[in-house]
Amino acid sequence: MRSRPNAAELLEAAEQTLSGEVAPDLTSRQRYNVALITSAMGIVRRELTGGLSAWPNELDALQSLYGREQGKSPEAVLSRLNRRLAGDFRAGVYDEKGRARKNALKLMREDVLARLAEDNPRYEK
Amino acid sequence: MPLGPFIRQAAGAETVTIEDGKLLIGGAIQENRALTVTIRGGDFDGVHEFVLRAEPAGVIAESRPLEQQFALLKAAESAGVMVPRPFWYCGDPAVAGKPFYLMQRVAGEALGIRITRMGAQPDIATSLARELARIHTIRPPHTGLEFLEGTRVSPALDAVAKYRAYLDELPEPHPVLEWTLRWLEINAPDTGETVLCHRDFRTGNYLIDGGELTGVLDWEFAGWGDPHEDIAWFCARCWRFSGPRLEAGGIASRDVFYNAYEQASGRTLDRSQIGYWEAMAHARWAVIALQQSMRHRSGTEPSLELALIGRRLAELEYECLKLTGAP
Repeated sequence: MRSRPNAAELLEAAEQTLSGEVAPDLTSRQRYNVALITSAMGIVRRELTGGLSAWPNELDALQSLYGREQGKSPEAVLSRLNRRLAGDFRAGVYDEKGRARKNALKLMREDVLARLAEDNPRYEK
Repeated sequence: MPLGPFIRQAAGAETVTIEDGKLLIGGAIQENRALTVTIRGGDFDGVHEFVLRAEPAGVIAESRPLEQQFALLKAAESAGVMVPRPFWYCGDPAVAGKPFYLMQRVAGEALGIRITRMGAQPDIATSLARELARIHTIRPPHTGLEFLEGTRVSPALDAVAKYRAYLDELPEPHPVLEWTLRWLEINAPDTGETVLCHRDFRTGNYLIDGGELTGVLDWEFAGWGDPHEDIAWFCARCWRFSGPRLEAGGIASRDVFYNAYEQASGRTLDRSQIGYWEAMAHARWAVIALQQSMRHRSGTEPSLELALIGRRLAELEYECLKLTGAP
């Protein structure tokens, strides 16, 4: 077992030291850079606690739309099915209102909300 | 020929001394340097505060070359738009390392985050609406702006085609943006009036000094288009910074901005078209954000600022889903 604090906890402590202790003594340009750095660290910290996707059911949701695939890595399946979904939107496959479109858009919404929580949790929706 | 002699020749001056200033913050895309230039003799005799605007290392596809930006600034100045006065363009990279132009350095605050922290500023929004109406008085054909591309199908459908072409160059698929672009294709309005659109008219791209508007900046995306596009870009959620509830640029209500624009331009704005162009605004900024992050990812211009723009995508896509009526 690894020693504590874990990666996410260390990142959080490092973020706080940077913005609380280091930044106040810096020039405004360097403070801007510190804000960029802590922002990147926050995203990394939140991404660390997740899995392959920003939300746990992305692969399942895509497979329930397009069917299950065997023998490929989850990363490859995820990328292939996202590409298919993107292509289908462009080709007009989901133009008609109905169950398929509803499912596809629900999937998009889940995905966007999960990524938003990771990338910018303070965003006012 | 170094910068000093270039200015001396362009200004018809006897002597020129240059005090090199600092790199100005606030351009993820452009490179701006402040210069204090003392010109003796000729029509430009005096001490000038200039901004030297140069081409950055990596240019995104939509950004116009400097020479065109300079011509747009000239056209805007002639139309009476409040812009930093453009002085000289120089295409010879031997002078300053790369092509550049010099313009007047206008005092004021441009940072969106600081401006929107000051709360509602209806007077600034009204001034901005009037400036935008003035920009929209420039129409094709226009001498000096012959380089601006004409409309192919319609401004909306041309944009959809352009953003799809950008997406096709990227390594990852983007289903939310594909949905949005398809929605924009199906719901595209017919070609309306054609005017000069600034295409980056928003908080962050104008200067405020002493509570007054002092300049409209960043003309690198301007082109012929539909006036509603600029209105929607100004009001889009992604440009409200600290003031998400002040829907006109984070500084005023939509009514204040719309009314001032309608009064100054004599046009009646079509609210549903503004909604359409607002969805387009988020799709467009999403595509630009992806290009910006590619500048970092490809190694052409390693930068944490550019890298982080890639993680703005989710908030832009969130607005896309909302504006296209996705459940």
